[in-house]
Amino acid sequence: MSKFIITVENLNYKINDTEILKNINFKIPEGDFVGIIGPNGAGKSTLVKILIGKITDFEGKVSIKGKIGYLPQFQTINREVPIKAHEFVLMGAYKNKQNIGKIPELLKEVGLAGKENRLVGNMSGGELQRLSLARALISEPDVLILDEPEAGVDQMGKAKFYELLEKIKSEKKLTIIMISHDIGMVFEKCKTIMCLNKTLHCHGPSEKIRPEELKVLFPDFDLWIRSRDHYEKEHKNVE
Amino acid sequence: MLSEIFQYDFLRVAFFASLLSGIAAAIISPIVVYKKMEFIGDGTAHAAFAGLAIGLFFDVDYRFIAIITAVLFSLLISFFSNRNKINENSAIGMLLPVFMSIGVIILSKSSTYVQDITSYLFGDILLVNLNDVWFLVFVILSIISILYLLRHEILFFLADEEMAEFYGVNIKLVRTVLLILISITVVSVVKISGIILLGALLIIPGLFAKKLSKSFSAVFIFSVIYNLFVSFIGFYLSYYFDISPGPTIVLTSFVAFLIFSSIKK
Repeated sequence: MSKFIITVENLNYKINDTEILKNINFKIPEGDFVGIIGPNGAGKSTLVKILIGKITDFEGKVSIKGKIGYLPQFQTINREVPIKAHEFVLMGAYKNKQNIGKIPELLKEVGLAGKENRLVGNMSGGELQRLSLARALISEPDVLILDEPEAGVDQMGKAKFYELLEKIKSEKKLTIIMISHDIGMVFEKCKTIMCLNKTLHCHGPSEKIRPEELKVLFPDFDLWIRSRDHYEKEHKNVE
Repeated sequence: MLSEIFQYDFLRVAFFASLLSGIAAAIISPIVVYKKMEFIGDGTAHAAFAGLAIGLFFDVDYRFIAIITAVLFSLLISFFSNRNKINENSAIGMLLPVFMSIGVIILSKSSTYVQDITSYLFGDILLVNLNDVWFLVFVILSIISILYLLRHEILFFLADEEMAEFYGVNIKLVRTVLLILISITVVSVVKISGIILLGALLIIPGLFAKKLSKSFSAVFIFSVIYNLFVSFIGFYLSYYFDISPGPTIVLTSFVAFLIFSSIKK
């Protein structure tokens, strides 16, 4: 029986009197790949902020066994600042200075070998996403949390990124939690799905989540289904 | 022409003071520009005015009190934006007139009001003495040392504040140290450039350096080169045409930036 790396019990979070998260309970076993889906304003990013420790004034219990690596939406970066790729990754080793020597190896791992001195501002969305992954990995995390990794990345970059993510997950035995609006990709890649809309509406293996459950949550679910079908069809054609 | 300037003690002092002011402002300028803190530079200059007024009124060294008022101003900005979640620019807009009003009220009770207010508003390089030059040297060396010690923290803070905090950088400390450095720079430069004109010395070199630099250290080098160049040319022109050095340096800086911008789009 696998151990649980994340346990959330009776989690509630309010801003003033507005309920953002209500009575959330879940356990994530080691090595799981969880996709969190939900409409805009469902509290997905708030849940991530609670998991990474950015929001602390919540009610309930959140316990995480191990170190967290985090990939924010890339827009947090000020692209005007002339920071080089290796300096950017160095940020992740701020508290683990002994890992600084691993930077070239990590850059190679994420497909950015030899680009140590490239300015981050000149990188494409896909390259930046992989660089952020290297920055997260240098801190040697047990859990990797990704907030909409597909944002600002083109189709090619997305495919490359998810491929890399799967490879790294199996090599490093990581637990991954990913927020995404790309429903096709989530159902394709994630072992477990969580549907969030202020409260947890469903949580289970991706193959067992029923469309009816999702339809209640998302008014535009039909569009999503179409995009999922479209994705699968495209995927099969490629194969 | 330069040998003429060096013939007179007061001109020699004024010349070195204007170059050193340029260097001091240029070192901090990229940080101000990247973090979009332009308004805070202006705000601390106005806050320093309250300190200047207190210094003049009690006939004590203005620098010490101006640093206190400028630092107090920046800490209050930090406090309001961290604690009350007031936008930093709104906090500056609210406190700037408060400090300025305190300065004006104190100066209105002083007999030296009219003469000195103009000097400090627009700068009067000919009032600069050797003490000011040594103070500038001390400020420059202190700023360089602190920036070097905190180079990684500052780079991470500027490039990706949210993630720098996630990876353990003490963002509040970095922000406070930078605000204090800006305050000290402002006070050391204010006698030369004046409160109103200081913004140009503090912003334009950073804008220039931003367009050229391919590394974080190069940003500071280009910024210093720019301010040294415009301070030198501005001082020379002010001597040649017998006009006030502060505004001449500011105009030189602006014109140089216009020319540069039209060449490098």
